[in-house]
Amino acid sequence: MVSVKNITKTFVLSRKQMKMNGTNDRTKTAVSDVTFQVEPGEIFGLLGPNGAGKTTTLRCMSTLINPDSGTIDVEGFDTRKDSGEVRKRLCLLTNELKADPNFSADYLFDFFGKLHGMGKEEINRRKEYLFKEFGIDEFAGIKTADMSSGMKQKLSIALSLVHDPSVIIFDEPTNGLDIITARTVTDYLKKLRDEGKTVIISTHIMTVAEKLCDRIGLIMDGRIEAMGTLEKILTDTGAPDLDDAFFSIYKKTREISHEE
Amino acid sequence: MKNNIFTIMKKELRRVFFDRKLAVAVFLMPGLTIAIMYSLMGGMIQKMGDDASEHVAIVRTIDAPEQFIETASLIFPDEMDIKQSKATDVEDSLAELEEGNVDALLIFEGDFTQDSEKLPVIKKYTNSIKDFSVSAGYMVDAVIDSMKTAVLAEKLGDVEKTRVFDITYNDVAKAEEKAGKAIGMLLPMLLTVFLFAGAMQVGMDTIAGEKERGTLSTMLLTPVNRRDIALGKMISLSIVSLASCLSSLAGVILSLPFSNTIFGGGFSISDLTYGAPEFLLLIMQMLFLSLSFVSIICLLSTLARNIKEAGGYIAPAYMVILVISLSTIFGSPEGSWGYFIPMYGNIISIKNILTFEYSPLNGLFAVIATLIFAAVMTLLMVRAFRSERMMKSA
Repeated sequence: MVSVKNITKTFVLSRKQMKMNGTNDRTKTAVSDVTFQVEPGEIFGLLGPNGAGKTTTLRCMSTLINPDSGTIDVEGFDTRKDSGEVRKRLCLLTNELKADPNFSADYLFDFFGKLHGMGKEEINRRKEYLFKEFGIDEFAGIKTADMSSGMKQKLSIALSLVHDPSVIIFDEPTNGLDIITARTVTDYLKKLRDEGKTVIISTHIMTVAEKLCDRIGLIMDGRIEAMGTLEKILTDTGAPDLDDAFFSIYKKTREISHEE
Repeated sequence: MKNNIFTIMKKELRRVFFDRKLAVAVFLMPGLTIAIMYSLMGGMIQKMGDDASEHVAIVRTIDAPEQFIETASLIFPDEMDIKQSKATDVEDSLAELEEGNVDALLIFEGDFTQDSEKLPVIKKYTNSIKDFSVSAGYMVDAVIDSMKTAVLAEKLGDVEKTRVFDITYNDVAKAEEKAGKAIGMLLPMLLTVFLFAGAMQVGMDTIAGEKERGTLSTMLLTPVNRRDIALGKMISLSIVSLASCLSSLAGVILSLPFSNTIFGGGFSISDLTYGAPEFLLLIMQMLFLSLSFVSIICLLSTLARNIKEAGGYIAPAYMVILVISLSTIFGSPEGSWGYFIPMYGNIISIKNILTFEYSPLNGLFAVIATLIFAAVMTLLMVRAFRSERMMKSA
């Protein structure tokens, strides 16, 4: 189980970033008072436009960065106090994380297995399973640099799952993938959910959220503006689909912020 | 902890040793390039010396007394060609010297054969930017000196009276010490440069490169302590740097028979009698020097967001190291204080090992100072690895 309680994260902007954001403020609050909980056997989706705070929330959960305030609890461990224990139990996959181009899939799998403290037999067992699942066997011996982007993506997923984590965090899981690889990934996420894993994804693609997520959190300007099952969100907003629901909430939050 | 450091080290070393192109670039090319470059340079310097000794110095004289011509033909029968002219040719002769058609010009004014109230004068002209002219100047000085003795002997009526004392020239330095001194002049600087360059080549890619490629974050997401990741990378880089430097050292040694003129010449390869203790001490000092270089490169690489930025940070550090190593050419510090300066102490110690003047105590001071420096740099690097701001780009 993952429990996020009232987390806030503010970044100091560089001059270049200030210029890009068209602001004179030296700081930007990426995430503000975000709270949600995800249970095992559930896929939770953080849905929001670019720059809404999805990636920052996921990076806080995966211990890459710490929230300024609030707490995140992963399987009973605090991300700030027990970051090592948290990392043993979760994996994060984003498009920014890459497999080292100088090594083969085979070598990298063993390497990350060792870093996760796994024994040789355990690594081999897991390798056999994941390589078969993602069809990596065919290119296990070639250097990552020589792989196609689809192969690389599959390898990155396999590497992040090497230690069989119980919490799986995917940032934009289908971004940049061809239709077949994207389907492989979404099917696998469902399989993980069915195995009782806690799955959290971020996306800005409505159809992905609709088809994949058991619950959705709509995040805008660093705040969770709506949360619940697809049906609940549609009922609350009175919209026919998630797309309309999203824009209805988006408009409402814009009006409020303008009034403020 | 040890296991994790070892696993990361193995991966980093595998990357360098198993990548044929990189291994050739880091380990083979420095030695090979240096061996070829130094052999060529040594050959060229040797050729320059040979050309100078084979060259017949052309000396233009104006109103030269017979005594000068005779003395010159006695001392340099084949090495000096004297062309005599008259006082009216001064302007033309100076032009000749400037153009390099003659190597020296001597104008004799006054009477050199008889005593007179006014002392005769020799005006000597050479061209200091032309090597043949400079060496012709030395030859002319030797002839004038002998001529002076001959004139004096004639005045005193007895050549024996011109002898005031005898000088014998003795050198107590052993052949191996002379060879050590010659090689110890430049080699410490070269080794320093090789060590830094070897570490820089791979170092920038190890951290800043991994940040740029997005592969460092993958490692940061494992339960491994960030300190272990930093140390694993640092230790492996030290090994790579040292191996690269040993390759360069091998290149220097291979080229010695052809390049000893670069190191001052005047010694034979057989004069270099370094034994196992010297080599062990040399490797030890190089190891600590390499550790401090690697710690600097790793820290700067950690602070940078990409390879380009890391290059920008490391280039000034390289210049500082270059200046420090250059300063060791001009002598060693008095007493022990200099050995407490990190890196400088190691370079001086390397010089002392090569010149057989190594003091174990000073060597120890250098090692301790460098260890403290490397430890501080490593702590800063580990802090940077733990810093959210520094790792944001990872």
